[in-house]
Formats: sequence, structure tokens, C-alpha cells
Amino acid sequence: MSETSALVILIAAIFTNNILLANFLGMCSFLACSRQLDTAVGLGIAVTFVTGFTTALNFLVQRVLVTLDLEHLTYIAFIAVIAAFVQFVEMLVERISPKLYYSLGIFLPLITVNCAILGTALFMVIRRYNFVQSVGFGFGAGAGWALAIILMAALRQKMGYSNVPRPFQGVAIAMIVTGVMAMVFMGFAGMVNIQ
Amino acid sequence: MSQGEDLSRLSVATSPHIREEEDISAIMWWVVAALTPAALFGVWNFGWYAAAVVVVAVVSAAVAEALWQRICGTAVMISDGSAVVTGLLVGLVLPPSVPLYVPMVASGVGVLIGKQLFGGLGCNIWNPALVGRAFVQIAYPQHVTLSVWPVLRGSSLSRVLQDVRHAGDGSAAHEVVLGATPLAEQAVGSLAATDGVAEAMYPSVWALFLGNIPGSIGETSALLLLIGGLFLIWKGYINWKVPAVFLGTLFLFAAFVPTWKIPTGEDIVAPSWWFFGMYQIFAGGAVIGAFFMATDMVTTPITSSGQVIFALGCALITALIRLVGHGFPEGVAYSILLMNTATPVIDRYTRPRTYGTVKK
Repeated sequence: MSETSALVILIAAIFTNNILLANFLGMCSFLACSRQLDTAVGLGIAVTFVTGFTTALNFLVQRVLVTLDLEHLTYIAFIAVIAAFVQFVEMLVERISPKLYYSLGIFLPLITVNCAILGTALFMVIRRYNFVQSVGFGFGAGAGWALAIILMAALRQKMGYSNVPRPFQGVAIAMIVTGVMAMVFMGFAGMVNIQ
Repeated sequence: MSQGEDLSRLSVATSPHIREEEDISAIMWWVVAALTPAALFGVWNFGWYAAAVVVVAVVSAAVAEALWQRICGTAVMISDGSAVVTGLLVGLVLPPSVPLYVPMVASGVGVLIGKQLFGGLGCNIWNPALVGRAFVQIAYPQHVTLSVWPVLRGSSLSRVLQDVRHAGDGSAAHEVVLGATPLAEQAVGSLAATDGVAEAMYPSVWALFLGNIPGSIGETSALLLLIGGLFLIWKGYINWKVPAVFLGTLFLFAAFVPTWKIPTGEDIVAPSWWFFGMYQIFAGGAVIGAFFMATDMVTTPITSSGQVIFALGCALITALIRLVGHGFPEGVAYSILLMNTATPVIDRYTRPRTYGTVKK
């Protein structure tokens, strides 16, 4: 059991161990949905919300599986929890705020297959976090992903005005930008350490 | 507006602008001129090999730019001086003892990946020189982050080191002694732990200000960098608020936020807040970063308020990396790169009100 406080884990998951820039999880929706700042902000908030709550739920599910000696079902259980939660959020958002639902509508199902969320749940198991630490880690990882996609969307909007050489336009330059961003975020390395 | 009228109250902001004769290449060459004293001092301080490092960096940057532009079939724009500025900055932020392929790789990566892939001058997101520097930091950490740095004989720190470490027999006669850069020293804390008084183990603020200390080639002399920076402010190329906010915030953070990594004990006297604040400003790359890198026209926010936010962020991240983190002794380069990343977001939220409209 790691002794790090939940707050430190939260901050580390945003900056030093950014789920996207240090672990390269959640790249697909990161590259696909980072063209506009507004959608990036919406998706980032949605992912933070879902990651935080599913990590907490998955912690409980994992405990139940351990007591029942069914640990080999961890993966499928995690995926089921995430899919169910996203479905639940989708219905909830549609009922409460149709406006938000329509602005996020396309992205909500996409969150189900965002590997950053499954990755966060699996890291939680590997690192043996307790419940409070898991909640901190879940929201931190989601917020880190949101931070990365918001920065990326603003950069890509700015790059709309630059004349990138033709072979590098589109996804190619986005990958290069992601790489340099990851290099830059290494500046935070060693500030707080969660493995 | 006729000639000779007072123009000082006109502040330059976002476009549209009144055209002037002064073009990009003139600005770039003035920046080169402003950096020259610090470069020459570095050569005087560290010897001819440091000159070779700087020259290799400048030539590599220019060659990389020319080759790329030739391959792409666009006009070769070396004479605009931007590649020379990049190469010069790369050379000045490298330690004087690196193998010559390090400045070559740093300049090449800086110019090609940092600038040309985005479409050349004016389109880049990150400061090209710092992209190169961060790249070699990761690629060749053994050469770029040294635990011992060559310093010139007779500098104050080298004398202190000799006294403490008994560095060989008759070491005063050696031309080159090994000493740690002030920030690496602080990160390790080894020196202070071996002797009683912490403050006496660090170079004096005056030595840091003059630059007679180990460090990267061009970042040691705060005095000469300040002269160059003030010259650029006088020419109107850089916003004085950026270095002022950058260095001021760094001073305040270092002086008053209790995160000192200095080992304390019964027989160790902690440095005063004044000394430690000044120390954080003048040791390492804060001055060159604040005046020459955080003020880059392309990669920093457009509006004055945005630039202040930028400088504030740079200072806070620098202080965090230096004083809280254990990964790197120096954080100026990474802090500026991180704020470069955030520049479009800052621009987005510091848009000036459109003239004639009411603020929402």
C-alpha cells in the first residue's frame, strides 16, 4: 500500500504523471477531438467526471471481485462498469440538461472507449491505492487528460494560421506537437513521485 | 503625426500597426548584438572551447535552416538572422564542456523540429532554442547536466571548493578545477552539509551578478545580460514587464515561501531571505531566460496582460522545479517551454475588448 496522500496523487496525476503525456493513454480521442477549443473543453470536463467516478466505482467492484476470488474478471468488470456509467451519465445529462447533451452528444459514447479511463482503473489496482487515493488519482488523471487536450486544441487552432509543410499537415504535426508537449512536461519529472 | 512629436505614449499592441522601416532581420541582428557581450564573457571565462561550442551551435542552426529551405524549395532566409539567434541561444545555455555534437544536435532539432516543421519563423509554438536544449537534456543527460563543471582558476567558488574538498595537491596551480554550478550545488546540498556555514559555501551575490562562477557558457554574467536586455527594452523590442515580473516573482517566491532545500542543522546557518532571493535570480539561467527567451515575439502571448500572466507562470514553475522538485536543478528552460504550450490558451482569454463594444 502506497502511503502518498490523495492530494499529492491528484497533483502528480495532473502534472508529473500525466496519463496522456507520460503514459500515452487516450491518444485516439485526444487526436480526433482536439481541433476546436470548445469541444475540447466539453470533452475534457466529461472525461474528468467519468474517470473520477468510475475509478471510485471500480475500486469497490475490484474489492468485491477479490473477496469472491474472481480477479480474472477484473478487466471485463471494469469495462462493464465504465460502459454502464457512461450510459447512465448520458441519460442523466439528457434528462437534466438537453443543451449540454446535444453539445456533448457525440463525445459521450466515445468516452466509453477512452483507454485513459480503463488505464486509470488498472493503474489504481497495480499501485495498490486505497479508496481515497483512488478517488484522487481518478480525478487527477481525468483533469490531466483534460489539461492536455485543452492545451492541444488551443495549439491546433493557433496552428491553423501557420503554413505547416504539406507532408506534415494534419495528424502528423499533431503527433509531433504531442511529442514535444510530452518532452516539455518532463520538466515536472521528479517533483512528486508516484511510480 | 509630424516628426518629433512625443510618441512615447503610444503603446504597441495588437495589429493593425503603422509600418516602420525596421524589419525582422534588423531586430534579430540587434538581439545578436545584445547577446554578444555575454557570449564574449563566457569565452573569456571558460576558454576557447566554449567559443567552439557557440560557433558550432550557430553554424549548425544556419546550415539546418538553409538545408531545409533548399529541400523545400523555398527562399533561403538565413540573412534574416533568426537561425543565428536560435543557434546563439543554444550555445549560450549549454555547459562549456559538452562534446561538439551536442550543440550540433540541439541546434538541428531546435531549428528543424522546433521551427521549420511548423512552417518557419513566426509559426513555431515553442522557443526553438529551448526545444533543442530540452531535447539534448533528455538525449545526453551525462553531458548536459553535470555534477561537476569546469571553472576557471581563481573564481571565488573554485577557491571555496578547493578549501572544502582538498582538491588534489597544490590545486591552485591547476588551470581548471572542477566545481558544481550553484544550482546543482543547492540541489545536492553536499557542500553545505560538509561544512558549517551554508552561506559561506555559496558564491556571493556579487560574484553571481558579475558571472565569475561555473555554469552554462552565456548565462553566468547577470550584469552583461542585463545590459543587453535593457538595450532591447530601450529599443522597444521587448516588454519590460516580462523580465520584471519573471525575476520579481522568482525573488519573492524564493525569499518568502519556505521550501528551501538547504540542509539545516545545529551548526549550519541558513542563508538570509535577501541572499537566497537574489541567489535564485542570478544563479542559473533566470536572467537570460527572462530577457531573451520569455520575451520571444512568436511564442509568447500577444497582449501585455497576457505577457504578464506568461511571466508569472514562468517564475512560479521555475521556482517549483528548482525548489520543490528533485528531477532537475534548473527549471527556467522547462518553465518557458510549458508556458509556450499554454500561450494560445492565454491569448484566448486575454483578448482585448473590440474598440467600440461594451464588455460582456
